[in-house]
Amino acid sequence: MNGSEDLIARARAGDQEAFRLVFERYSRPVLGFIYEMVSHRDLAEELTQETFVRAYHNLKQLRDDTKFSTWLFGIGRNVARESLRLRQRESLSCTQDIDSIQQEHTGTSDSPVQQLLEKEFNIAMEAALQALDEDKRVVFFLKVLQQRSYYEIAEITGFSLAKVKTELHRARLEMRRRLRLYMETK
Amino acid sequence: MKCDDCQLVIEEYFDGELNEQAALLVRRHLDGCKSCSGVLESLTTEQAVYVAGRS
Repeated sequence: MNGSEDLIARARAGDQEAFRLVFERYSRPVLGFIYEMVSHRDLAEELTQETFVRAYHNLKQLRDDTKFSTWLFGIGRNVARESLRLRQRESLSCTQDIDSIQQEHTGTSDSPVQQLLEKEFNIAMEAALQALDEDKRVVFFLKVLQQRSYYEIAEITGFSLAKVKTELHRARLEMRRRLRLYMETK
Repeated sequence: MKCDDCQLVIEEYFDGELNEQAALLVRRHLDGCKSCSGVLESLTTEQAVYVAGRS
């Protein structure tokens, strides 16, 4: 049986294979989440690794296996925030690697023109996401792209439920405004 | 329920965050209101577009 709770319980008991499976199951959403915060693919991958290393070492502190995902995202958020603080201190600038985004988002439509439009939209959406401030971006990502509940988002981010709702509403408005032209053609 | 009240909670309704009683009030309003139904439709379309844009 490889349900998440079973895997996490086994991982907590020291089963490394179970933890590997946990990593396989959660690494992609965690990577996406961290990427939303740091806006840099390589750094996000590095921080995702760090998140799982910390999770592995602290698994015994997890009190409720059903809240593993929330707990893990919370670690990811802390790891990303630490990195952002460090980068601010070092005054490093981080630029978006448009080429890698273009490579990642391959169109699935049937005509080259349609594929080009899809690619252009994907780049515009990425830019719109990056233009949101961090709080809005994280809430938008967790709700719209990961379908987390408001409660889970509040747990992961440490925001109040009221703040989750407000940030989500404002993020949707901003995204809609920035992508209006594209939305009208969809 | 009036449109103003519906607009206040329509995102929560769309996100599945309202309790059954509140959701029922919104559903009843949406059945007879083109304007609010349009808002819900926009939220649905946007959600699909965003998810497709990241897949």
